[in-house]
Amino acid sequence: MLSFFTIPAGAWNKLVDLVRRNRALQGPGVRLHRTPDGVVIFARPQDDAFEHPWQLAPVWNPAAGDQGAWTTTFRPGFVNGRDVTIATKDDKGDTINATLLDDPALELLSFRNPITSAGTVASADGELVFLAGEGYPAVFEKLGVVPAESESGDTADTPADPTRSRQIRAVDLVLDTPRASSSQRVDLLDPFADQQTFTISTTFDLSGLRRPRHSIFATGRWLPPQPPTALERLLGTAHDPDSDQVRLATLWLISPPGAAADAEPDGTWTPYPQHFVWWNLHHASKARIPLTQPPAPIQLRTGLAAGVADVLIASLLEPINDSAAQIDAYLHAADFTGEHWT
Amino acid sequence: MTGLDLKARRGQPVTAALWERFRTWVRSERLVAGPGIKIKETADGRIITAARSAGSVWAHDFKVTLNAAGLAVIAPGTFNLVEPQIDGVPLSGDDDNPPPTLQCSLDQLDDDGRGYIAAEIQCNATWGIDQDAIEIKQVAYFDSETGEDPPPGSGGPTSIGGIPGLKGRRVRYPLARLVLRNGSMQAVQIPYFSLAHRVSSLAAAPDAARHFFWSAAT
Repeated sequence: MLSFFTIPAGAWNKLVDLVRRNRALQGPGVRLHRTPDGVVIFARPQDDAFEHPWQLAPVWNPAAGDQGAWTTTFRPGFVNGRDVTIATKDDKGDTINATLLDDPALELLSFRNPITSAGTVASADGELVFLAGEGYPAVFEKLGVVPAESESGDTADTPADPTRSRQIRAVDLVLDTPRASSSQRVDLLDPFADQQTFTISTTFDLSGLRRPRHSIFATGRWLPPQPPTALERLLGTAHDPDSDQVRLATLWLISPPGAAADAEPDGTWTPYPQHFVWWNLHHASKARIPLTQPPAPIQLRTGLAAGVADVLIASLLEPINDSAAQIDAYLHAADFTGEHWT
Repeated sequence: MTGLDLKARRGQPVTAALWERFRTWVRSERLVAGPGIKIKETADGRIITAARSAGSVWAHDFKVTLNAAGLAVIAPGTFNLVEPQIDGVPLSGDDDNPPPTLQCSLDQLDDDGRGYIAAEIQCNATWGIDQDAIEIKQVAYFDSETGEDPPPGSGGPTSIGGIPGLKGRRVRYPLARLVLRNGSMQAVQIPYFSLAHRVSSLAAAPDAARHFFWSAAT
């Protein structure tokens, strides 16, 4: 014989609530994997907590700037064992260079939008070509970031995808190591006389060394300093940059869903650091200084025809002397290019 | 499933289907210990412990551990495959001695309360490194004796890079930055790997050199 019991709805719901209260929720240091047979608890690997040099800790600081700003601190990093600084403001509002050991915060004021086109360029045929947006790491597609603009000027394949409505911005964090630099200069000497008319000289610039020895700055889009080309060295127009730089990280900021295309990052956005350097660095400059004097121009003085022949001979030698000056400038050009390495 | 869809209204029958969904939900919410987790059931609830496995902490080369008393333990590492020593005992110890420790002192910090634990390398006549030629020390400065730049025997100003040498064919490589915070010293690690070493010496000053280091496998 079957017997039936009545379970009041309130009692049933209390039972449901009891189970609900005892559900496992994920907290710091733990990862939960839900299966039909239970919730498997994993301790997060200790590697996740590895704190490496140059590691960013971005936060939204509502007190920074006029309306708040994103700032970041760094785990201390070193170059040649030396401290690295960032420009920040002290309690009085004065700009100071504080070492990373003091945990200063760097304000991030300029961001780039990797979704929008980099602009238009004219092709060889005279057509205007719309450049594609820079794009972003593929992981952000899964987080619902809108597609970058394609070369056609439209957003890529799925512009109407309602699940991809988040905006993205980026800022580069760059290590700057000033060094001596040099510039070549071309001088035309006595162009109307029978002497050499073309010299290439090198001037040295040590002003960069007045800046902090190693410092970090933030920029919306970092372009590496360009060393002079071989042609510039040959022509005597080379200008050596006065610092060596390396990009430490890019900070990506993701908006909440549905943000406007021109939205500015604020405290509702989520930061995702992408690191490029994990270890402390060494640095050295080639510090190659030309030790030789430029070659003296070849001259041939005969005194023939009351000196008229000397002028003629000098004009014949002029291209040879110019070429010699160029080759000497190329072979003995000063070079302060430096390298960072781990 | 959050359980909210299992809530019942007054008079709603608990059908077999509802009961089965409830049973499935309860089963799916059981706690199962994964790697590194221990669950102990008690009458008052379950205690979940995350065990820290021995392999989870990275014991890298030259890892500096500084305790509150200023006693530093430095994990073994090498420069050109030569192991540094503390008071004549290699960092990994030897047959007669356990791994040595370095007593650090507030007195040896600079005026800003900063300093270094550094490996001081005595180079030989060919700028190589002999066995027993590296000693670990606490110093206020690693690239000069007193903080001047360029230091004598350095091979040039520090602004051109590399690490300047010291008088007598010596060079110091910093293993950790010492920082005085709230009255106690803290160590900030600098190298994470053993290192290789070469020099760029000056023809005009045979005992002066710039020193270059880079990470190298042991």
